[in-house]
Amino acid sequence: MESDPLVAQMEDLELEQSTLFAQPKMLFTRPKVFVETSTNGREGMPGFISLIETAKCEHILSWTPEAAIPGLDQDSYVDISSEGEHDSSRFVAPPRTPEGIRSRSFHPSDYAVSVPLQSIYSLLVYPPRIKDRQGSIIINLIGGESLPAFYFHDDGLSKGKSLPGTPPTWGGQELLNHLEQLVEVVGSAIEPGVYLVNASRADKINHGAASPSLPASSPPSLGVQDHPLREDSLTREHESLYPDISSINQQASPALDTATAAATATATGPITVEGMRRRKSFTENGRSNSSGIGHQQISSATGSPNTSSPGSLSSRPRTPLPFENHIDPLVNTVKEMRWNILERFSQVARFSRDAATNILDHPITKQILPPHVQQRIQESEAAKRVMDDYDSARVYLAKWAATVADQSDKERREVQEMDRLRQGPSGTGSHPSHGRSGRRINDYEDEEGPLGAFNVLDLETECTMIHHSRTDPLSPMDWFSFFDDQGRLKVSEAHVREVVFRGGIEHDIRIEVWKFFLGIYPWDSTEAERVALRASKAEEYYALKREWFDDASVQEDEAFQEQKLRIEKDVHRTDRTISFFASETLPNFAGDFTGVGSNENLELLKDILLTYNVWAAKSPSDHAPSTDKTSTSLPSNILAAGATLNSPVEPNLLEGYVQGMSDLLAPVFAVMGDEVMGFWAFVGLMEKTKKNFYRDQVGMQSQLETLCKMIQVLDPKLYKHLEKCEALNLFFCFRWLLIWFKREFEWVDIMRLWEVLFSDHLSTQFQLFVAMAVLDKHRDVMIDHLQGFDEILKYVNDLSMTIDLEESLQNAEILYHRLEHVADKIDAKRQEKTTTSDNGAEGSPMFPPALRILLKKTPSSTST
Amino acid sequence: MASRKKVLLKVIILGESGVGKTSLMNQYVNKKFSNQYKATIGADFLTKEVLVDDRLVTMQIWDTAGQERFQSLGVAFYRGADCCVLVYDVNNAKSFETLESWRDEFLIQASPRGPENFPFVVIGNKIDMEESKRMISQKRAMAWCQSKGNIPYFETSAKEAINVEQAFQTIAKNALQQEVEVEIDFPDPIKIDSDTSKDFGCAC
Repeated sequence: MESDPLVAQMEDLELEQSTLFAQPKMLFTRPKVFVETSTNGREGMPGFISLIETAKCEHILSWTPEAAIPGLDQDSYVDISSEGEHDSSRFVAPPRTPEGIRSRSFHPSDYAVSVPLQSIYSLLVYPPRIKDRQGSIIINLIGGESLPAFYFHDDGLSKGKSLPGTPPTWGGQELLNHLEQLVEVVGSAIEPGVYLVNASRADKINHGAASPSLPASSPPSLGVQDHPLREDSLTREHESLYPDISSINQQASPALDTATAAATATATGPITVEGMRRRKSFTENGRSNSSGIGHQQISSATGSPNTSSPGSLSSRPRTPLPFENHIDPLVNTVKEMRWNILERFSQVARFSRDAATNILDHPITKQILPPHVQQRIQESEAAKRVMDDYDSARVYLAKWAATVADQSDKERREVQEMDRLRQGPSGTGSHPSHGRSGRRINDYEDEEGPLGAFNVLDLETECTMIHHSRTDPLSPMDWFSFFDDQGRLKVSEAHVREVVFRGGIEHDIRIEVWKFFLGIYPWDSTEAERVALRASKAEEYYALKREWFDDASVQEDEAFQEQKLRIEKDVHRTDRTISFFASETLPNFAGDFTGVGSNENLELLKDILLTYNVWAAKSPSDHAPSTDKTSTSLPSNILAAGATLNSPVEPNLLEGYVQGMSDLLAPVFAVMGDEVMGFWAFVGLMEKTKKNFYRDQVGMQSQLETLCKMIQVLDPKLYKHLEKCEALNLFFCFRWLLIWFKREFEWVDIMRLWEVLFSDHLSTQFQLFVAMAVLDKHRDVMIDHLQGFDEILKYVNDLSMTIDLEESLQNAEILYHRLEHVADKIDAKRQEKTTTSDNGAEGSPMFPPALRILLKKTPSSTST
Repeated sequence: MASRKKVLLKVIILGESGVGKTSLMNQYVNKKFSNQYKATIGADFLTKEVLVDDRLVTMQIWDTAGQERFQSLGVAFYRGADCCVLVYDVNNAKSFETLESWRDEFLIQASPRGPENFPFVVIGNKIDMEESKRMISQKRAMAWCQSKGNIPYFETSAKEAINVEQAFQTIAKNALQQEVEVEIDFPDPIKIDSDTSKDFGCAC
């Protein structure tokens, strides 16, 4: 099994990212580095600039505000900063990425920033001068964004490496010295103060940076010019305090505008067009900081007039995007890259999300990072109460982490969407299978999955492009175009199913389309036949209803009354916020629930449910044990339910109304708009869901077990975590599956979700893939933050009404195809073994039969 | 932060559907009432910090589905319970009559140590309704409680917040007696207490 170089590369990336913040070591830190803020004004906010090495030897530059580090930990920062060298490495708080949290209210740590060194494109260095004794460094990222200017205050803090008697070393110089040991730093010969980090050959040539590498001990000084940052020249400057002001202006002015730059460049050496462009973009980069907190202040922070303007010379002209102001540098980067790079980016987006979640794990950042959360907690009594409880606190923080991750995800999707649009129709619906799922590659390696060898083979799966096919809902016009003059479907049933699966149905035609999907209309019926059918269905319904409605003896039966009471209790609290069920135009006859009146539609819900009891007891039963078929026609069964509640004779029977049924009925009744069709539509829906309500609960049990298998195959790491939490029973998904997510989505979403489930297009149990998609979305948070069954249950319950349906459906579809792919691979592997090995396929992993059923398109029981 | 002892009391509320389990829990924890609570599907819980005999404890109150069909889920939810609250509706005789089966089922599924001494509390809810609708007298309910080993009995109205606080105080107290102190270790505590806040906002 060969693995694609891209996959290998991504694996590396993943590996790095997953462990990125595992055990960071601080290599260098410097206190009293100021960032200008909106509240602290020009004086700025003091903080620590640090170089941090992660467990994977990834290097990160970060700045953390003093105020965001509790006293004790601050000491350790100071300790390290005075110790100076690498041996002082110790674990520190993982810094946040610029993509981290953006809070409206400004707290010290909102200014905290950190970037991997490889994302740094260049540094603009402004050493101390007469008027500006601090000196500053601006860091430009590869994407063209910049970090806020860092001002190095040297007052009494130069106890670093400087020897007694030597002039104090400027903090910026120290930072550069340390940077050099980690990455290649070359100074531009034509743009004083500009240092390229890990520069490409072309960049080096353009900048006249002749030597590709520096001796580790020597300060960055390259090119033709004697650079002011060379330690000796810096020392000289400290002594002479720039006697030649005019030359300084030329060499190191932060206000280097294009003209000056060009002039300087022309005067100092050969220049190419590319070089000019690059320079232009530098100066722009240094000032056009419009995104991210703290960036706003930079242009003034340089203390220079803002002379940049969108230049025609810019090497990377781009159209400003509507959301540009809200996205971070990393996202910006991507907008300029091609599709294949996008895949890497999705890793980056994940990286930031992992950072966000990891950050929460760390004791120090637990305090540093969510100050606005803390603020809110301190203000809110209820929240404080929750936070007092350790378990609840974890759920609370997990939710918060999920919010951050979600934001990051959304941005990633926006970028993908942009890219898709740019690519034109060929890219429609395409979705990189990497990104979120990418991490699984490692999971398969780290965690021994249930399928053994499949883990390796799955690498290939992971890099296959998997698509979702979601489109717009079926419009009335398209729908009517499906029919011939007779009103008979002229396209295939399969086609209609696929169309509805992909986009759902516009509301106006649901009333008709659902009747096909819920088994009221045969797919090959003509309009005339359907008219006749409606009449006969009405007759049939009223006949059923009369059996209890007109029969006093039934009404008086205890079992019936018990059923009626049960139904009334639930109906009166079903979807009362939906206008269709909201009004109180009738008194509440039930007498059981006080205060709230009833209405016609509620009363009809009750009637339908009671009639369904009759129907369920009568209907030829595919669930009744074969030995007892005769009983279905006995009159006593008309009484339904109650009578047999305690008899174990027919363990699989519905035995009357079960909680949750009113939830299922309400939407189909509301869509149908009348009692008769509401009833038959409910019958159709129950055919798909009634196993959930069987007395012995086998229906639910088998669904939960299947879902569990799916997790085991698609996400072994999550599986292991659930195992550890003793949550493998997946009871936290019980409500989802019992009533098809009715309590998890808003009313309009439910109708959309359900018609997708009705379609049976990919799988007759697509709800399991939707469940998997929702779990997948939150798996990182669950793994990182939730440590017990109760925490997971609480977290999952509270997801209610926060789940993005479209996203879930997209991912559910992708997960379906992934599972399919895994099945194919395993089958192929077994096949291979059968033919090549003496033992046949023995010992070779087998795809779980329970999951294979999901991949089969078994004909829907209602389609005939 | 040093580890501290923390007591988590797990309380399970059981009873027929519609007797007001969700309402009682929400009245107690959130001081809110709604007659629009949907039927509980599966289970959920709320937590509340309470002082019991000068000790601060956390109550984790589990609200469960009332239909006996879902009792099989109980195994997962009941485990480790410190107290079980049996709720019925004083205006609904059947909800009272099923108390015994709820109790038995709980003892089977939770299988607590010393089931004969396991603390139950019985609540007769909805006493705000007119007296004429009342089906179960206080006397009858108390007699049953007595016969089951002197189970404490409360009559409440979740709607009007009558006796709810008192009932849960007793629940907490009895649960605490049951609870063998569990030491919860705080390896990396999330410091949210007030002394942390001192570190914020003071920039220089």
